[in-house]
Amino acid sequence: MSTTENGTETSTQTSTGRHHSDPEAPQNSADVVAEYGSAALSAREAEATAATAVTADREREAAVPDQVTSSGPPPSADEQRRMAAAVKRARTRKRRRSWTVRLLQLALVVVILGLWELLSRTGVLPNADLFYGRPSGVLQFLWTERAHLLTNAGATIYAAALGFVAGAGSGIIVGLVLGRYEILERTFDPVMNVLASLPRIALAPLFLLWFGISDLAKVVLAVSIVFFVVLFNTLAGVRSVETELRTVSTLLGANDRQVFTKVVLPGAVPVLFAGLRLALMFSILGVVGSEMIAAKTGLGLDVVVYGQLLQPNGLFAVLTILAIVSAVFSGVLRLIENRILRWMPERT
Amino acid sequence: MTQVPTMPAPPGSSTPAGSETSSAGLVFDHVSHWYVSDREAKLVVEDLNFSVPDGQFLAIVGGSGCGKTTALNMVAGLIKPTEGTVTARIDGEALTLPSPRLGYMWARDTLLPWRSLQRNVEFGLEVRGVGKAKRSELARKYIEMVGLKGNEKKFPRQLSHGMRQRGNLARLLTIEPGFLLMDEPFSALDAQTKGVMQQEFLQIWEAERRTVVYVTHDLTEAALLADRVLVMGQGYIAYDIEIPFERPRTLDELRFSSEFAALNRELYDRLMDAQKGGRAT
Repeated sequence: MSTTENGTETSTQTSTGRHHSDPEAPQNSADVVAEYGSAALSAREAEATAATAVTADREREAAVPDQVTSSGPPPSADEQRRMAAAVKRARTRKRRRSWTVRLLQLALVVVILGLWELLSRTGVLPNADLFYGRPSGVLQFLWTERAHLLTNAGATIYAAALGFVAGAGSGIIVGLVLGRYEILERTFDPVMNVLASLPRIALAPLFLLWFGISDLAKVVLAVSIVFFVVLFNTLAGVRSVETELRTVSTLLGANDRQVFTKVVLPGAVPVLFAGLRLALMFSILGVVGSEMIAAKTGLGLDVVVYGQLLQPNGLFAVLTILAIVSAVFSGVLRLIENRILRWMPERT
Repeated sequence: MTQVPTMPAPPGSSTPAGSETSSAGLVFDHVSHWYVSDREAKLVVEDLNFSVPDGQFLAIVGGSGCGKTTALNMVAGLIKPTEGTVTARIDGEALTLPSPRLGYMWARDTLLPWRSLQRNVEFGLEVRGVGKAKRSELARKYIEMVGLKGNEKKFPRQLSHGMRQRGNLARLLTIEPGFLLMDEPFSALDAQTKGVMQQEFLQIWEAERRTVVYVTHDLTEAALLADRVLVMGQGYIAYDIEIPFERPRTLDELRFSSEFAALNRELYDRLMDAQKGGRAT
């Protein structure tokens, strides 16, 4: 549920940001755009922003004698007051709208869970205890088995984080090297494509054979997926930097190395981040997949065991944990991304 | 004055006019260029043969695809001509193209989106190894000169199109180019901003008088700014027209004078003629 909420919230902000990013829009304040782009805004923050927005706008218009944006003489006190009121009204309206959306989202989840509980209890779902479980049962399971689940979640998170860091790190480095030297990229291209098109989960038995039933086997499987995802996104990011920007930089006197470090590298970051977000999911997928095949600890192992023991509540409990873990991971990544990509006009 | 002196491009002569003097800022010596792709080979420009005195403001006008940007890119060194040579000089000294002493301004805004205006304007100095304090100071100076003071910390997306083009201009001026190439730099601006920027640019230019090659499809703009206009047909120079107005120019007066109207008319006719394949003979 937190994923949905997160996602919707961000998309609302994005559309706001886009609306506001037209520099000639009368009520636009660049600072507001930056704020909105940078992180989730609490209501209080929004209020603070609304207050500064007015002065920022005014400062801007007063400071810039640009024929396009300035609209005559400096504002009177009355004008400032009217503008403050207009900004406040707009913010309140938006806040109200976003609360409505949140309530609706919550309602949707409650309805789905309620229906599930109801169908399970009334027996409309036959043998619910063996096949379908129910929300109350899942909660109960989470509570009674908390120690066991936490240990296994810890093992999975540890391996996934390790796999992500190692895979993404090496993927970025190799991607940048290949992106810098076209001849290398063309040389490696066929091999990479074959390796990347392998269903990597099928490599799990191989890694288990090589590294035993260990953390290393899980991590390596995760790396084998993450590496290629990040590698290809890094390459795509490097290619996404417009030729014009490179040419202009060259004409301004930048040498090849400077063009790469000052233009290509920062320009590749947005696409790279899209890859990292995917890679995070794939890292968890790799680890859980590996654990499902053979492991001593981990949520993947639990999934298999609870499935075989006909414990649907246990299964759903594990899935709930996995969903929370994924949401927290991508939330953290999104925060970092928002901080780094403050300059972006819009985000997907 | 309705009769504008015209100078036909000399197609038969072996050396371009003025090339004998090494003071010429720019010489196109029988330059042709073939564009080669997988599917076709096409003659983009044919036998461009002209010379630009040092410090002249030259405008090249012509329809889309006439080869005017190709000519400009050859001066910048982005395209090597398949036949003939292009020589650009600053203070009599021939440049090795592409040269960092040449300033090139594009129609599209090409500020780096992840850099603040200040850091964008500093870019040319930064890659030249100019120290932080010095480049910061210079960037501030030029940002103020183009009228963007107070916007130093903003990212390009927070600036209007006109402001971004001003930023481009400031960035270009920091490297103190001895030679300017402009490819429709103000074409994407609204009429009002365009007028303001043309005047500002002209003022800056008139103070320094560096050689300028200014490509545009806007005849009025060419006539307002330049000393001389080359009218291009498909891949060749059809007419070579001197613009007699004295400097410094006040564009808002010049724009509505009867002499200007007559010249504009002349240019228009020449351009239409060139589109039909006409040329000075």
